[in-house]
Formats: sequence, structure tokens, C-alpha cells
Amino acid sequence: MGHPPEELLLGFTRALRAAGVPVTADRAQAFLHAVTLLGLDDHSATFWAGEATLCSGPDDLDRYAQVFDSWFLTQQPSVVPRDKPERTVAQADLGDNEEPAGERDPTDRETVQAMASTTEVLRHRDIAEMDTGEKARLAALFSTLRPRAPRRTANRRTRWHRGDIDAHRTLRRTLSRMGEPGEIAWRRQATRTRRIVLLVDVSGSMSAYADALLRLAHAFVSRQARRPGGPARQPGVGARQPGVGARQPGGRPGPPSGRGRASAKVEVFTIGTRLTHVTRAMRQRDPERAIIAAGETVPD
Amino acid sequence: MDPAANVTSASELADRLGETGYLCDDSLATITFLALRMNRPLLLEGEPGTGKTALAEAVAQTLKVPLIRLQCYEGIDASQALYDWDFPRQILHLRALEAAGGGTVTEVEEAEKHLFDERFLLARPVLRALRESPAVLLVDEIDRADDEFEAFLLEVLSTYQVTIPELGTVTASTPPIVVLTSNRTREIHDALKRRCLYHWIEHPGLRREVEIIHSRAPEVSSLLAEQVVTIVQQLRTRDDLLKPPGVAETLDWARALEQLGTKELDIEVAAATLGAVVKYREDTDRVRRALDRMLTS
Repeated sequence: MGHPPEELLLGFTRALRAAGVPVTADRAQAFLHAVTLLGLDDHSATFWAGEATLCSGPDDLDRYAQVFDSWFLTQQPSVVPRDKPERTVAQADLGDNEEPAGERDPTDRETVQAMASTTEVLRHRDIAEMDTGEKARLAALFSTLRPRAPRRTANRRTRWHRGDIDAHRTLRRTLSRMGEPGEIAWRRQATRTRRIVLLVDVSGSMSAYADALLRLAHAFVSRQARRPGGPARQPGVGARQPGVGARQPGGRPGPPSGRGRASAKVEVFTIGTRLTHVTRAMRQRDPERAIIAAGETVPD
Repeated sequence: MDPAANVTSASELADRLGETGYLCDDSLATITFLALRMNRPLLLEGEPGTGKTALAEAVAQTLKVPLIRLQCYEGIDASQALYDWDFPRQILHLRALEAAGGGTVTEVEEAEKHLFDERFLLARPVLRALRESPAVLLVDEIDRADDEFEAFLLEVLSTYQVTIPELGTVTASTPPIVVLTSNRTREIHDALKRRCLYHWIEHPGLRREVEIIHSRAPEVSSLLAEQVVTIVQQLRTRDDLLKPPGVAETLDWARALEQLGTKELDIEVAAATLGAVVKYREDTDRVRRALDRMLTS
């Protein structure tokens, strides 16, 4: 073929990257190293070396096998690395960019589609097709929702029954016993709630869903209003919120942090032709009234 | 004195692993060989019960080095994986010194120094592996640990050294052989994956699985082994099971049947011992209904 082997191998990693397997330079280097250890004469060994160094998950394996076939076996067609795995991974046919120009029909490329799991779709009813009775029932279901805000690790540490030693508390306890060493206090990283920003699409095409989505948003907002920010670190903020919402149902668009409301944990925006901040409207306790208030806020 | 140095080829490694009773196919042998040679951690993924953990055990046995196991769980942190100070003993030590009658200033300083002595250090698996290396460090079910722990592990695995502020740096004389396993309950971070050699372990084929039974449970008769494997393989191809049985389950079942003195699998015994293979009630019901057909086919 006239190509030095490292060129062939690196070309293969390029082809693989083109096919959608995220191959980085260090992976390619590890691949070369692995092949040097195993020797170039053994094709299946090369295959497995590449699999170990270049792939990062089962999703990559099929694609890898395909590219390997077309890259190496066009030169030595007798070796078949292995059978196709039986596991069916939802995978995209990426049109094998490594092949020398235009062997594939362009229509082939149109089959490139992410496959969503069909079972999930069937399990859910489409809200848009529900009649009013079902919608009412759905609204009742939404009002029973008690969404829990996701949490993240915080910088603070909090006491816990294991973890690392809380030297301060241990020392204080020891001092309170006149220096008699006793129980050791432990601590771990605390968690705090994440901020939630809900973007509700209320544009024309989504109008059938807007009501349900707003109810869901309301469930989030009212949940947070009742339980002030989860941890009791910002007392008063949560308690103030319903009052604010009631006094000023017409919220203005704009980032809330600019008006000193950075402590609010849930923010709701609607997207139609423009972005509207409806968190205040959503703070009303009654979902019906909250949605009406939100409707008044949204200009379109 | 790297024990991996005298393994010269992948096929030799496969043979030697075979002697310990672990049968692996060429791909796994090649990748394990590479991991030994390139001093890289081996990341094994696959369905539960395909022999990921067993590989680490077999490698340790083959190379005659200790196996050090770190079982990951949610919330595991560096003090569980790396080292910890034996706090109660340190206090006890101080009390003992105090009881012995205090001392001068220099003695107090001396005592303080002694507090962070080797003997108060609790070496956890990673530190032990670095110290006792050559060794096999098995980090089991890494997908259960948190992101922070992964980052920490990445640091250790890229340098093979650990710094203890009070004692100094511990560096492995020969890097330990590291095997990470994951059941893919979540995606491992890419940085860690890039450090590792990756391999997805498939369920073995029919022939290979029968061989595994012969090797691991030689008391089971050939006929029984074949029948058991045939059924288990059929179960795996069904897509309605919550958890398809792994090789570990096959072995369990074969051993269970052997214990009952079964010579040939029939529907009653199979139904009675089904608990060894499928572990969910829904699965049991489904399999029981289909057993008749599977046994006759």
C-alpha cells in the first residue's frame, strides 16, 4: 500500500472520529502504543487494542466495528474481526465518511436519526388529545404533585454520622468536658437546593400543552413557596413570596437577580414570541387564578 | 520485579488464566495483556454476572500477587478509600503519655510528632495497593460512587502516588494492576475512561458457558451442564425479563441442581430451583410458564 503503518493507524482513528466516536489525541496515542505491543501482523489483536483504547462505551462498539471493517478490510479482505454483536444499540448510520467519496447514496444519510424509545411514548397519553373531563382530572393530579427540588453539594459542611472529622466541634465537646476526650464529631459536605428555571413554551403550536405545563410550573413554584427554600438558611424569603405575588400580579420580564430576588429558587418563564417572567403570577396559591394571572402577564 | 513482565503474549495469559479456572476469550485476554503491559487501568463494563470481578481475582491468582478490593458505594470518600488516622488510638496514646506523668516541653513536642506516626495510620485499599504493589487493585462497581470520588481516583490512577501531608508521599514501586468494574447504572466520566483500557464483557456463548461450568463446578455432569446452559441462554434472549441471568446465576443453578442429586433436568426440579436463576417474582412467573416449551425444544 505504500503507507507507513502509523499513518494507516492514525488515519483509522481519524475515520473513527468522523464516524462519531469521540477519539482524542491521547486515545489515539494509546492505540498506537497498544498496537506496537501486540504487533501489526495480528488483525484481531489490532481490533481489540483499538476497542480497548478508542471506545468509551457500548454505544461506540458497533460503530467501531463498522469503521474497522471498512478501513482495514478493504486492504485485506480475508480477515473478519468478529461477528456483529447481538445487542442492538440504537445507533445512527453516519454515512461512513472515511470511504473514498460518494460510494453512498445521499438518501442513506437521511436515515440518520436518533431513535427514541417507543415504549415510553406509548406509555404516555398525549395531553393535546384529551377532552375537558380528562383535563380536569389531570389538573387535579398536577395539584397533588409535590415536586422535590434537585440538590447539589454546597461548600458548607454539616454534621453527619460519618465522613471526615469535624475538628472544631470535637474540640469544643472535649473542652466542655474539661479536656476529657470523648465522642468524635463527624461532618460531610452539605447539600443545597439547585435553582430551577422552567421555560414553558406557550407558542401557538404548543397551545394545547400550555395549560398543563403551566400547572406543572405552578406545582413547582407553590411547593417552593410553602417550604422556604428547603434549608432554613433564608428565613422570611419564602414567607414573603406569596404576599408579593398577590400584591403585584403583573410581573415584569427581566432577570430576577437584578432586583434582589436572587434567593428565589424557582423561576418560570414563558416563551412565545418573547420571553416573559411569570414567577410572580405563579406564586398565587390557586392554580386556576395563577394561570389566569400568568395569561394576563404574557403579551402574546 | 514486575510480575507482569514474564507474560509474553496474550495467548499465554489466556492459558494461565485458564489454569485458574477463568476462561476468557481472545479479546479479553488481549486487552488484559495490554493493561498489564501498558500499566493502564482496565475498565470492564457489562451485564451483571459476566465475570468482571472474577477476572481481577483470576489475574491476581495467575500472577501470584495479592488482590485488594475496594467496593464502591454511594457516598464513599477518600478517607474510606485511601487512608485515615486512627483517632481513638491517638487519643489513647496521649492519655497514656499523660498518665505516665507529662514531661518537659521537648517531650511534649516529641509526643506530638509521634501522633502522626505510621502506627496510627489506617491504610485503606488504595494506599494498601500502592504500598503492597505488585498487587491487583479491584475497584468494584465504580458507577455507584459519586463524581468527586471518580475525580479523586483519576488523580491516584494517573500518578500512582498519594500524598499524606503528615507523612509524605507514597509512590508505588511498580504500579499496581488496576481493574475497575461498572454495571453502567450511570456513565463514567470521560476523563477517567480515557485513562483506562475499555472492554465490554458479553455473555459467553453456549459452548464457552458449558466449559465454564466444567471448569468452575467440575462435579456437575456434562448432560446437566448442557441443559442448564441451554435454558439460561434462552432466557437471555427473551426481552421480557427484568434481569436476565448472568454466568454467576448459571453456576449457582448448576450447583444447586447437583446438590439435589439431579442427573437430568425435568420440569418439576427446574421450577423448584428457579430461584437460583431469576431473582424477581415477575420473572419467575414468566419463566415458569415458558419452562415446558424450553425444556422440550
